[in-house]
Amino acid sequence: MTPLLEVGGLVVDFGGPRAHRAVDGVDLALAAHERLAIVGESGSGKSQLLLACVGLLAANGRASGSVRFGGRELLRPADAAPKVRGSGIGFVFQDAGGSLTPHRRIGEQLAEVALTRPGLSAADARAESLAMLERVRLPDPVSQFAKYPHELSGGMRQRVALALALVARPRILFADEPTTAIDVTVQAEVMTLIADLCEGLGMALLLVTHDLGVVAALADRVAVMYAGRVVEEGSVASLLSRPSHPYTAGLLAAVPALPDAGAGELATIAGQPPEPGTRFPGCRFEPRCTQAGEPCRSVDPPLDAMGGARVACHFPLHRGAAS
Amino acid sequence: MSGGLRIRDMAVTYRSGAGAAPVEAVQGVSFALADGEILGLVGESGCGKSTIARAILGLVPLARGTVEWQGRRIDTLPKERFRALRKELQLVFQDPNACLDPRMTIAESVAEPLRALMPEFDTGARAARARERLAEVGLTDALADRYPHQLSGGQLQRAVIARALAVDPRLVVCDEPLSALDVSIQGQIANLIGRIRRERGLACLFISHNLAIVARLSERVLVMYRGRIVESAPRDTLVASPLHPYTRLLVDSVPEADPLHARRMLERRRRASARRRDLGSPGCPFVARCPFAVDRCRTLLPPLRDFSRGHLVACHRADEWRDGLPAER
Repeated sequence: MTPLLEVGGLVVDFGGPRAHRAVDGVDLALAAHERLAIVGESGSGKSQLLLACVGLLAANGRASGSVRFGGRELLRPADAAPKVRGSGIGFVFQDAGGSLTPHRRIGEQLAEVALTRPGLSAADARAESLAMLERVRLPDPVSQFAKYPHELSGGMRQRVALALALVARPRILFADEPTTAIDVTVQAEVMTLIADLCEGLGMALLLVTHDLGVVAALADRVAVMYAGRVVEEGSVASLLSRPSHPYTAGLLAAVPALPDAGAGELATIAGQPPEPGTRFPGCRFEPRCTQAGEPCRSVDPPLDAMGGARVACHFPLHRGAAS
Repeated sequence: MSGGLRIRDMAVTYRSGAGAAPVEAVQGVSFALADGEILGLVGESGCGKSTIARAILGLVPLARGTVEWQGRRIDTLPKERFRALRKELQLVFQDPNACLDPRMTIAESVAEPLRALMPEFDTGARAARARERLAEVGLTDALADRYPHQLSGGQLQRAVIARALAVDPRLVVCDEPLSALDVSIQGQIANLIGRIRRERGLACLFISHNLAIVARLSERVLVMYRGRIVESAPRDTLVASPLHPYTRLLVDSVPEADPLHARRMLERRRRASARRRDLGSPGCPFVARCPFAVDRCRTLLPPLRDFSRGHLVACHRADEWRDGLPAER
């Protein structure tokens, strides 16, 4: 089966005084109805990968390689990506306020996006927008329709941003840190909402997050990025319980859990993430790795298939982890 | 207790412009922090926790209540007298860029408070003290001569801690010191704060929205909701047997990278989110979200009461679940 979204050899370069390569050769595939999470820390390239797919890189950014959506190439010509936004790929970001126009009413903004679907009348677009506000569980959608973004709370704005991403009925939802700016007791509600919407609307999900708790709750499959590369990929169930890459294992151990009794130290990964533009003769994680041996300093490990999973490590913690 | 820090019935009000109704960010908060103790304060955005930090340091005026330090009222001190206290009370907050001058080297920034607060130090003594403190937080001499933009987020936060320590304070208020950092770095800084506090016998008010981190570092934890303290207990008690339904929601919401656990939590929350809303009632601040709310919760504000030695709860029904909160309906 052809995947719905297929990323091949994707490279993202930024020019200017702080020129660097943010994404350095990434291959990923997303099937219809599948939920894939890309997890990594700041500077790992995860957000730039997402933006490159939909043609939203900053002006000094350039993507090469290939991104195919339903078989169509999105990186060339330049207007291919904008065309799939809305009814092909919807997206929601961490800063929900940022995707809403401050001086226009919620209803107008939704209807405008709904109208990008072919064959919809203005009345249809309004009905569709109201229905979507109801789907994102915004209380009293009719009265919210006439409001401006600043009249809503942060949690409500995030719901409106979701409605805006979905009102043109995309086949994939791109979500970049959708719960990061929200309070922890409300995060679960937004996560259930995203899960229910994907299910109800038959959408695939490409989720970018630094939070392994969100990955555990929402995704079927996960790709871990470090310094512009995917270092491990596999099913959520196997990767989170039996990580093969030492970086994945370190990230998992660093998730702060409630102490059982007494206070132990928090687990950490030594050192710092590499600065943008750093050159690596061998493995990118080698300077921080506790498992590193001789080949790690000089030979860049390829992302090898192991069972149903992939890992880029000379000394994986587990071999042949079935996904 | 005459030493340490004592807050009594603190209220802080913000006005958001002429005619607008004042917002009570902190509404009658009382607690004490002994010398050398580390106290955690946890709550979500807008609950008033940062306002408490600012009010202790004299950066916002109190609408009501008192702040005492070493048995002496400090909230009424005039500005110039408060300055002298800066040697004893220091603040570390979330954004390192807000307290490091981009035009100064890291070592210069760390020495800066000494110039203002310890005039007996000459240039050489200031520079030496700065390097000592930087070494204490794990920053090498090479890094000390760099500028803020040449350091990573974790290194910057170490520098900010070194700057707070430059004057050898007795109390450090840490307001969300980890939330701008990556997960792999958060633990490094949390462990550093824990170690420095133990070694120096510092008192510390550690403020964060992350209960797991607060519980890891603190001996006692205060939970705030909408301007009030709703529960206060020794760390192990609070984590193992919370009595306030909001505290339990926080405990339940700590993310875990375990798919089974995470999905069960979503299922419980899916049912819970059906309830909701009715704001501005005179009763319990948590009533709109509480699965156990009854009539009196809507009309009567529950006071913070002592349930068993040092376990304080502001909940009308806490008596009914002394042995543990029941499962949600």
